[in-house]
Amino acid sequence: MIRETAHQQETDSQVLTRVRLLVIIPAYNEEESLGRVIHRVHEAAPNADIVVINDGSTDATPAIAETLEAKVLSLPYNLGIGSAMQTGFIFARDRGYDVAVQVDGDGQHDPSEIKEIVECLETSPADIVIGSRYVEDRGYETPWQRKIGILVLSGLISLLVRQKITDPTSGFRALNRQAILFCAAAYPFDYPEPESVVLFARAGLKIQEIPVTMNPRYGGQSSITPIRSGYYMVKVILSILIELLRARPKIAGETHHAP
Amino acid sequence: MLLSPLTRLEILMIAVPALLLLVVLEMVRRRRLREDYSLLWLATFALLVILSTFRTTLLDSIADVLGIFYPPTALFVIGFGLMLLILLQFSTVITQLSRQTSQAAQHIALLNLRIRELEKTLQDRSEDSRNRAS
Repeated sequence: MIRETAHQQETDSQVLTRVRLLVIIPAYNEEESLGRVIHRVHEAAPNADIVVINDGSTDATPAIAETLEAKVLSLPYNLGIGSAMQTGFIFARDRGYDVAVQVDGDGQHDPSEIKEIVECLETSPADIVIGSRYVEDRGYETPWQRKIGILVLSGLISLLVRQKITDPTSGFRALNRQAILFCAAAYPFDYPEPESVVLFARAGLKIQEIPVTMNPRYGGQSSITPIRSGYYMVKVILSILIELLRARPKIAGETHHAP
Repeated sequence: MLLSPLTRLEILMIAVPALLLLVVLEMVRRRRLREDYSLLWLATFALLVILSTFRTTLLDSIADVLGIFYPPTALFVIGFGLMLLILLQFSTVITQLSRQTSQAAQHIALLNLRIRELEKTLQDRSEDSRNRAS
């Protein structure tokens, strides 16, 4: 297993060593899974820097990240995944990273696929590459309520961005420098993934989906309950429709920030 | 009772908003309430005082224009409308506050990491020079 990864690194990791890569892991009370996620990211992308955004966790999440030599950005209280991710994008912008990859702290995303996502970002004209569960069927089982929700969202969003988006809720994505600048300047505060797809398209950033395999979470509690998913749908659809009434967002230029 | 029920009600409808008007002014004076957030409150209570004072002339004709048969109802309608405006203002203020607190929290997190990194470089550097000295 270890020998196999070492071999793969020699052949495939040229992209991963060439670009300055930041892996952003948003984590809210993920002590059960975070350690494993960080290990696997280290394994898959040894040259990447890892920053864990501790979104006001009350458990050992920040301590685990510190001991595993990840950088930790600890928010003093829970801001929600959107503002947490934006913190990571600001960090990526200020420290001059070329590429930022979002990997969720719950273990749903397979860090070994970071390579494919980043390679796709580097070789295609896309500014954002999204790892999708549904481009091809890889046996990810979605509960039917969620399936309906994702179908509605992907239908609406595909229509609006005039491009087939199969998995707009996926948080497994890579962003190039331009997209990092855009997200650092403004990012939806809560349930950001579907809305950000619309924002990207309206700003003229190119989106590409590639197939990935997602796992059930390693441990801990999912934040999704039936009432929250209902609220989620209503909030996300409202945000997206209101976004259409706004002026098109602009991509922020490089500014000179403190390192 | 010396006064008829109607007169008592009239006095009450002037006195209560007038008192509240004074309370709001006093809160602004003591800086318990910001001037800009007090504007809608002051407007509401002042309007209620004026309408109650000129009940037979002003309020009756407003009720007439609005098609309200019982004039005091017009008072409630107007008061309720202004109340909704105040609540809306609250929501916008809350939105602004939550954006600001969220930005402040992000800055704290970013600065914290920078401080820890700087402390570490400082520590490493002083250890280095100590090693070189010995």
